[in-house]
Amino acid sequence: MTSAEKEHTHRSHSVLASVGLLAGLTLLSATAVAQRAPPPPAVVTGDAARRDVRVATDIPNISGVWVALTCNRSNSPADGGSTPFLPWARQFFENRAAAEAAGKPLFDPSANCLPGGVPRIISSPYPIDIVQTPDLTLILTETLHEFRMIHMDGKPKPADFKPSYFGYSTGHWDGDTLVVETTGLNGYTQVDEEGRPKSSDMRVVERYQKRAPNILDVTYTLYDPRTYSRPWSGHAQFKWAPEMRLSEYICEENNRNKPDASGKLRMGVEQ
Amino acid sequence: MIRAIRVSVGCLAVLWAVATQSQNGALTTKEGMLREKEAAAAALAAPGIAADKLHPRIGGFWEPEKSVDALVTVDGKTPPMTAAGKRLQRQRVAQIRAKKSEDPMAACLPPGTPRDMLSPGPFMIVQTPAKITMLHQHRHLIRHVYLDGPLKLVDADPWWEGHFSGYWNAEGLVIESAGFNGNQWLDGTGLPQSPNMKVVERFRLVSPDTLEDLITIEDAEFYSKPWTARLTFRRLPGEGRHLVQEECMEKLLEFPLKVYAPAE
Repeated sequence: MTSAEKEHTHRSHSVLASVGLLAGLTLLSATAVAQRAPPPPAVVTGDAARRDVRVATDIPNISGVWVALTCNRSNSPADGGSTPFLPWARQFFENRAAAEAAGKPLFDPSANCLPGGVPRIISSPYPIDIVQTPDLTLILTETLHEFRMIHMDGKPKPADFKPSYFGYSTGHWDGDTLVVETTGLNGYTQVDEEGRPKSSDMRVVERYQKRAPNILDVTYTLYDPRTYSRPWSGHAQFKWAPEMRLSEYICEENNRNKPDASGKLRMGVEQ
Repeated sequence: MIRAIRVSVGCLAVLWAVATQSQNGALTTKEGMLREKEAAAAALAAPGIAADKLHPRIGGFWEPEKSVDALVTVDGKTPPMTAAGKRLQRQRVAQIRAKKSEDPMAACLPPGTPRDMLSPGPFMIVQTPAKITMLHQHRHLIRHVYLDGPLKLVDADPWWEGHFSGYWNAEGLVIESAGFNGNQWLDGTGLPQSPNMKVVERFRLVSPDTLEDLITIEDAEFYSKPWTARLTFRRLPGEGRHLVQEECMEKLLEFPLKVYAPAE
């Protein structure tokens, strides 16, 4: 008996059934399943407390719907230190703060229903749904009804990739941690609502790890030598909510103005 | 304890479904056999890291076989409309001709159901045991179809896309939707919908690389009887393909976006 099989003998029938389910789908003949006694193959282990299934490969299962426990209007460094702004970035940040305090906030693409980009999307207060396939990890966000594709196939970013809000993300597992590296960001968006800027050179490394069976920790480190004097990190946390379904999210419905004759939305703000 | 029970129910539901398959030669030959609760519990038990091996492989990248602006019935006819339906569509067509279209899509509102399936360009279907996720490059649209069984709506907020629920039958994937806000057009010619519309989509592989979506619209306010349209998609090669982030709102911006960082 392998160690995995031994592990199973200590689990309840329900877990055995759970394990048998996945195994049965792939490995057992229909006849064997009909007898309702599928012996769990050694390659699959389950965990009752986690209500999920660990597959033969050593990929942890972080799939499902997660609700945000953190929501940061201000993504300051998680270590409590001050943001290591370069001079232009500090000026940018202070200008925005002053404009907002004066009741005349400056333009922000997210006010036009455009994505806040990476890493801002991670500090959004709305749920995410993670879907894992062998080649792709998808982070589906209720915020703006958007999706991020994280390529797990080991291939680098295509040479002709055009910078975008979510950039190009590659991922790999470092033990029990999903490490996501994102480049190809377009530089139109801010790190947070408060106005920490970024350049299109920013590289974001996110680390997704289950701190507890139902808690997902995300630490993101920002490398952007055109904007910050040193790399710095922020933190977000999620709680598993498998009963939850992502809601429709229609930012555009809140546009009080219709596009004018030239087809533009006038918001009466300065850039 | 509660968790263990949930796992247990979910597993029983799926094992029972698998057993049904062995007896009938196909999974749930009758629609609706997977009750909502059991399917939801099954979803909990199998959140879906593994590829779905039980069902036809509709996962992967697809694109429309041809671009469709006007939905027609499977035999190529204009949908059977009520007087109210004809009136509303005529009005919309007149507005389009006068270049005063009030098509919600022009304001970047979501195309809803079934219009998102008329999106041009590539899309991806992600097939996992608990869920079907459809990701379109066009406007980065997304459909979350949780495989919760036949749709049961209780006090649902009206949504542009409606509320979906999916399940597998002998033919393929069935997606039922209802709970619409009634504001979206069904296609580019302004075919109307009311909040009471019900849509049933039946996806099946007509060949390994051809996907069919039979869309049945039931909406007594605007259509004199239920009617069905047919869309087909061809499979695209290229695992590892990236769906470019196309954002509709960029073209409505007051001023062009600029990068914040000063040029070096």
